[in-house]
Amino acid sequence: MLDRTTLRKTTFARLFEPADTRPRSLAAWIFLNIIVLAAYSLAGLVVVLFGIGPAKISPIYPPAGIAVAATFLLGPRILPAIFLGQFCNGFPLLSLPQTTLSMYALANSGTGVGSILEALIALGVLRALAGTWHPFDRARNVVIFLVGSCLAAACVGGTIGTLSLWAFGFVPSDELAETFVTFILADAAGIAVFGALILAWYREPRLNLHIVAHAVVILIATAAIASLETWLRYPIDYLYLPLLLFAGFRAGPRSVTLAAAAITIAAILVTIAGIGPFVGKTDAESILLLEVFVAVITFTGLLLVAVRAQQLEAEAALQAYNAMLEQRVSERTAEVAQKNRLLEEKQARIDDDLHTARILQESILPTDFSAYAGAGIAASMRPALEVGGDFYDVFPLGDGRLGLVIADVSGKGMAAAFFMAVTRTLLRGTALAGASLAECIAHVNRTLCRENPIDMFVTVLYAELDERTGAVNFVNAGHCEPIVTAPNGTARLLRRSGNPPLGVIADRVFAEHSLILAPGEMLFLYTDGVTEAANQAGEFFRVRRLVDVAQRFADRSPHDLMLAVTDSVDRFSVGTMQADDITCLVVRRNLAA
Amino acid sequence: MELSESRIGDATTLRVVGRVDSSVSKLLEQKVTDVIAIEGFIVVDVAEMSYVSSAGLRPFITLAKHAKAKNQTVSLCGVRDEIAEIFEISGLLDLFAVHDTVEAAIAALPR
Repeated sequence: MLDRTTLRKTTFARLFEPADTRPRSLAAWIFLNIIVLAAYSLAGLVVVLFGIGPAKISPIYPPAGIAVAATFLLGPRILPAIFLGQFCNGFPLLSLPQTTLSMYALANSGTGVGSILEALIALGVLRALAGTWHPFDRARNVVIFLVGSCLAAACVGGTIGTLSLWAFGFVPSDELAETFVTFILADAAGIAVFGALILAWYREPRLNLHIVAHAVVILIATAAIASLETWLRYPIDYLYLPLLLFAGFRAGPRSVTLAAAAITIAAILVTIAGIGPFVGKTDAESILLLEVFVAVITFTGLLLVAVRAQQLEAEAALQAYNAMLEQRVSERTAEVAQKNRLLEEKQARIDDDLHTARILQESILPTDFSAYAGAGIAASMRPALEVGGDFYDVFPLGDGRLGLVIADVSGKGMAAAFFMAVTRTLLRGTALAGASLAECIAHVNRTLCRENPIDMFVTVLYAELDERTGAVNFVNAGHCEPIVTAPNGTARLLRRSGNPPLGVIADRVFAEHSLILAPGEMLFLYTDGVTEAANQAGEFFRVRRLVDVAQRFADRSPHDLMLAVTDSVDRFSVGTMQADDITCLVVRRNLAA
Repeated sequence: MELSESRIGDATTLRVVGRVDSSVSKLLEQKVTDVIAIEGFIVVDVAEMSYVSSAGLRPFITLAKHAKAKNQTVSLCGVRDEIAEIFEISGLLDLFAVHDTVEAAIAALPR
């Protein structure tokens, strides 16, 4: 029960909720009521002064606008002022000879109640259907305001008012219909023009140069058009239309309501002077024509403003969305930049590591061969990437014997470089520990098979050269066939011996071979980066070209032969990326030995 | 080089056609890794493999290594004389079971 009462109260409160809901003292309410009463009465007085014809009827009743605006802004507590204002506004009736005080009081109480209901209905309709106290943001709300808050509300107020006046003899029965229409339309126009004007300026009370300038332009232009019309006596009221459009597009609700009010007043004044298109055969006709004009002006103006407001709102939303997108983009850009920076830092660390690895790798490849009196030696290793999987090695085994190694690890890059270092160290260590050639290779093979989690293997040619005799014992474990050159310009390949690479089959026995290097003869060892260097046509350098170069440089120094080979490969593969490590090791048995 | 793969029973046959050198060895290496991942026997048909370079041998070594580690049989069939010689001097021929044809290789598989 209580709930329902509370609910009804809440619904009622919501339906008649004004724009200004601040709590006020009784004194403040009395004060506000007096202010509204004064405004209402003043507006009523103006109507009486500027009414058309001997009855001083106005086509527009501004007090209705004031009443509705006051109710919109302050709520039902301002209704006493409206009742009282309307009660007093009937004072010209007192001058009629037949008027008694009681007749006046009863008739004007009726119009007063009509005004109160009109204002309440106006507010209630807009609140209920649009949920707001002003009609300026939505085209739909404009229609609700004009049809509901103006026309429907005025119908109620006008009906009650007319009937009250008729009941007590102030309206003759034969003028009843005409009075109905005039009363209703004047009230509706009053709400539409002056109500909207007050609401618009209450909503945006702050003055700036923009609105002041527009207001001045609107007032001057209206006055100018009216003056021109009066002077020329031509019906040029259509000139108000561009002015209304200007106000709507350039300055919003305040200027449009101002323009509508100014145009209405100007049109009324000009019509009173008997000029213009709204002058009818009778006063009642003039009033009707004016009212239609006012209705069109107001409807057009308010609709324009609402549509414009919706457009601006959509633009603002679009702009906000764009700004949000831009913000997102800049955030993402910053994120990407940050990630790039991290990647660059990481890359720099990796580059640094690779550089260090390369230096380390270069440092384990011997370059100074001056200690070997009986052999001239030249060697080079050029990795395809920062670090390589090829290597060569030269080390003394004692008794004038020399260990010579060339090897090629499967794959490239860090893994290959690491495997290369392991193989090189293992082989050199085993050889220096005094193992025989076959033992050495078998041991390295077994170890690589055992300690090789990433399935790599390495082709190796390991040779032992006796500097004094030129005897060479070697094992070729899956490596390229070496070339032996003689000073007379011949070169021959040492056929492979059927051994697989190291790190493939653990229990393999490797075949060993031997030969004698005559003084001046050279043993040329290389990796398949030499023979499989490709040119731009996709052809390989091949063993044939290598043997050609070896023949031509057979009577030169090991260093010359090595350079001749690497130069030939470079010239052959010019314009292509080096695909594999290129490694050469050349050993000559010196004549002096 | 062209590669094609087929499956007969529990044997995967990999057919290698054309020249196998450093320019394609990476591709073959990848294929070989894929084939090794499949359970069963592996038959490599090299009847139309015209040439294999030093770098081209590496995928075959990888294949043999993996097969050995998994105790898988890898058959090589249709090996031409010159290819056989390259495998021979590289010490790789005895890593494979060598047959004349794919059918012979499959027939010889342990059941």
